[in-house]
Amino acid sequence: MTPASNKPDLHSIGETAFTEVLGTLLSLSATVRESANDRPVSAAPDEISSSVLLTGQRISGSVHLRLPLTFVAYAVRRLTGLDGDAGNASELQDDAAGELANMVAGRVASQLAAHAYPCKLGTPSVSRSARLATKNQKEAAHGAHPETATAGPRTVPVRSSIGGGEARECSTPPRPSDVLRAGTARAPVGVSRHALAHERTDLICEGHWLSLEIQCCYADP
Amino acid sequence: MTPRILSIDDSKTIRLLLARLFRPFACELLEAANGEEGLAIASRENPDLIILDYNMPVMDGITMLRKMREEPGLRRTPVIMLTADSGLQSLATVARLGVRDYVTKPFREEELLGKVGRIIPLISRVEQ
Repeated sequence: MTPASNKPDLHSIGETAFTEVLGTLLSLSATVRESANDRPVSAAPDEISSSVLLTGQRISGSVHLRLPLTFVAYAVRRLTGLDGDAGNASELQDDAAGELANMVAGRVASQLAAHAYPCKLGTPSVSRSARLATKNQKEAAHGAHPETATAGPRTVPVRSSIGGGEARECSTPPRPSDVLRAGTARAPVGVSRHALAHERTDLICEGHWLSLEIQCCYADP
Repeated sequence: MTPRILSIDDSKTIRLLLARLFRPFACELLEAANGEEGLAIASRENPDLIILDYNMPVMDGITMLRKMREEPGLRRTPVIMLTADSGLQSLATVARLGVRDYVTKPFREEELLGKVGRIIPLISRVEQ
């Protein structure tokens, strides 16, 4: 995808940030997947989603990670040196997933600042979801994110595709689909419309499929 | 006398990481989960070094740093700032507040140990 003119290349920024964090923190290398179509569905592992909001005068948005629980448990053990059940403690796993998102968001924010779009990081938020197995991969590609549907409280899908790079318009700061709740996706009256960019990066790391989404809303069109 | 390090970070993962990192060395590690808690412990314990996270709930690292500098007993306590955001804005702010050094998260463990070792002696427990 070609990034919108005069705007930071979010795909490149995200890919670099994510791979650098994995490499520096966990000494892990990752392979970038150009297409999400071959994402394995059969395993359908439980996931932890972690998000960090970006807020600036010229840009606002979010950095959103989706990580398999088994990968997060591995990261916890690796970072803390705790083994066995300690690495499986849900509190620690949530904390580690949030911290990973925080670090990726920090690198993304640094790059955005270098492109004259300075922004501040919010506090990480974390949620868990059990992915529902889809009948086939095309449903996942064309549906409104069936693979992110949760078994618990229902979330409202707000995107119809996950393509990246194209400039759209938005009237509210973007959030990942599974963060929004029913009834919250309405535009405030009198807010001007801005350009929206959305990029997704999928990585394979130690056999785990990890996803990063960056959504940004630019104050300038 | 065993040097004392106060680690202040809202992430338990990072606090545990630092505990693992400093375990081989003859030092005492104190912990706090935010600036408010950290300030109370720092005032009471007077640590030799504070490793302070920049972005935290309740009281962030910058606010704590400002309050520390107002306390005579903590005015000169060395601080290493941990920050996920290596943007120029945050680094300029911490430099003005007299932070001894900073480390951008994620960091390589040897990088942090090197910076800590330049401020306090890190002696292996085996050598001691």
